[in-house]
Amino acid sequence: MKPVPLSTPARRLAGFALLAASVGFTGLLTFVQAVAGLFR
Amino acid sequence: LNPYRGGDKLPTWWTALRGVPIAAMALPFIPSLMLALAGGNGRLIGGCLAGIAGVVAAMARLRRARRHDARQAGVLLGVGTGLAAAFAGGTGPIGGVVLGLMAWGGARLLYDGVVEMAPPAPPPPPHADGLDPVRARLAALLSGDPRLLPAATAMRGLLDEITLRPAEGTQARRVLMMGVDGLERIAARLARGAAPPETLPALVDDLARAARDAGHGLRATETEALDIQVKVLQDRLRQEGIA
Repeated sequence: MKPVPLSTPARRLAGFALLAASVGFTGLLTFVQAVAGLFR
Repeated sequence: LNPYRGGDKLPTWWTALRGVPIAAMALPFIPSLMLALAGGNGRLIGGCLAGIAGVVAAMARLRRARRHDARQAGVLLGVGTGLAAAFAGGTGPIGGVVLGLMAWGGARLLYDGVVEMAPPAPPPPPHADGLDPVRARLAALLSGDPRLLPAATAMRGLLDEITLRPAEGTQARRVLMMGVDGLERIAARLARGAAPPETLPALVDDLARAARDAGHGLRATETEALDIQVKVLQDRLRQEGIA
């Protein structure tokens, strides 16, 4: 059975979602850490 | 994933905006860096800087848009995000690796197959006709004594003609070498303060004329060859009944 390749818009959407989940989430995590660091 | 599918044309101006989604997602790094600086936590500051550096480097690559730059942007973003998560995000090494891989994969998916231009062409190979030393000597003569300039300029023209037809022009080469040798010797004497003889302008004119004649000779040979070629082709067309 051959794997079905993602169409271009689906690929771009998946890439965007992955980036948001990684870069965006990391940014939020650092922000939380930085805020928490102020009260430590 | 699809391999490179971009054309080899120059990307349009909006290529510079390719990195904007990444920048938008990385916005929280800026206040984080400010707060980390205020708190004075070195680990946090380093992590934020790594994340920002990764984003900026990735955006620069995406903006440059040479072949494989999008892939490199993915790697840079992955490394930066991983370091930021591990050091500033408090995820530890495993979380950092996972988030870094996610960023790399996301960039690969989002920017795969975008139009990128070919890398700049390698510099043209140096002339392989053995005339480079003569070129350098002529350049020195051309920037030297102005009294010798007419002959040096004519020699430069002859050199250009010889460069176009490296296989021909033995006589022209002889004229060139003799002229350059002579001009160099005269220039050396003049530079040492010798008073130029009255016959010097005539000699310079003679040298310039000899160089021009040799150049004309080279071109004439070429013209003759073209004449023959045209005639042969005409005869052949006539024989084949085409013209």
